[in-house]
Amino acid sequence: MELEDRSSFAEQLRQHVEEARAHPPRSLQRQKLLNQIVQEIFNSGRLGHPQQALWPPDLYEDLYNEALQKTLIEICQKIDKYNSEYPVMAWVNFRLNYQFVAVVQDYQRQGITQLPKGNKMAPVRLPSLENLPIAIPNSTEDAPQLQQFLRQDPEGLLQKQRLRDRPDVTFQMLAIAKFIEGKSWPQIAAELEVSAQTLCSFFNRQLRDLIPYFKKYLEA
Amino acid sequence: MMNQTLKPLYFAVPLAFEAHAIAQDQSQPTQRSYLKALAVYAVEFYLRCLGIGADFAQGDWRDPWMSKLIDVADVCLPQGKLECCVVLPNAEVLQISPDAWGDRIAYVAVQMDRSLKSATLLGFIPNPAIDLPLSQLRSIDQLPDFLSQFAQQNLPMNRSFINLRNWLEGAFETGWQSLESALEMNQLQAIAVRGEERHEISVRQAKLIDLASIWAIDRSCCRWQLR
Repeated sequence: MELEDRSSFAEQLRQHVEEARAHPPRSLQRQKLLNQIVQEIFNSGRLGHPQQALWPPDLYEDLYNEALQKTLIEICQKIDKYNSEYPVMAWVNFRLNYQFVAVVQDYQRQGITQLPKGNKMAPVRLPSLENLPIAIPNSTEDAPQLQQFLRQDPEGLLQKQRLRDRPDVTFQMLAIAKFIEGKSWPQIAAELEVSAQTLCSFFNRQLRDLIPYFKKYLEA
Repeated sequence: MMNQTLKPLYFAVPLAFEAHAIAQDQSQPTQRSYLKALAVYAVEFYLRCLGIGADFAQGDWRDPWMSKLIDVADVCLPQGKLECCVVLPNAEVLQISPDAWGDRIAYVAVQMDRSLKSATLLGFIPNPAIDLPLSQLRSIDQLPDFLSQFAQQNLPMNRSFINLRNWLEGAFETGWQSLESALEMNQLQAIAVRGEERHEISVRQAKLIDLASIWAIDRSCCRWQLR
């Protein structure tokens, strides 16, 4: 029974990989199959666990996840290189071993370079939901400065941006309602009788262009 | 309507050093901004696996000023933006930041594992909704289909895909030409041009579309502040 399951899973996965390869890269058909293949591999219960005994469990999970993630991307990108003489999972696990060794090398070389510098010898602990480093949002800190800037609009750029179909609605008006009066888009939308989606999309686009102006006056 | 299988098709993403490094690489990460970075990372992983091209550096949330002022977690695709919505482990509904209500082609629900060692793409919806029950999401395996339909239907006319800055610099997207060159001068006079405000430059491009021998003029105007 167990064996049958195993071989039918292997056969199904092999078929999906063959099918995916038959479609050109970036085609919709290939995308859909890759979506399926990644989930099948991930949920297969047949992924190897290289060097598991050598590492503390918590650290191992992080090293393993990093390697697994790189492996899954590699499998998807190099699906054309799959040699159909071997089971797909043999190929996956072969690449996973390789990626795991590479991740460990990185880790040993510099405690994973991308991570903030700390005690290099201490194992890097990734936070969980419970122990996330929580910074207090700093928007309140510079609120008076921001409020003054929005009201004064020293170069008049905030008043200049108007909603195309409602020229009476300016960027400045929306910014004051949002950042000073603390109103939400649905509230502002109801007051102005303009859809919240329209307001939000106008506001975000203008904001992006106005960032240099914000910086000029608000960056200490 | 596709027949839903008993086991919903989710897409699990392992999160480790790279994902957390990106989340920590913000000037002052808050809990929310940290989780948003992981959610974006998970969606980007999905897109990379499938070979769906995206411009990962373009998201508004990556700009320190934008992210301080508005609450978004966007990923830019050629046909528009996806919003990555953080779903906490015990949540039953999808919460979408109102700052992300505009200019999105879809909202992807990303549920965080309590350990933050993995995230799961639960599904997506095309339009913003308030507190949508997670059970009503469209399955993530329908996303490639959805994106490709969207691209086919909307790509040529999608404003976000046309770089208006290029127009200002005189570079036009393929298929567009200047209004003057698209029309004879006498026709040009017959076109009503919306009043322009003093401080703004109005840029117009035109495209001629042959619809059963009727020439239709498709104009797109944008206003640009003088710098």
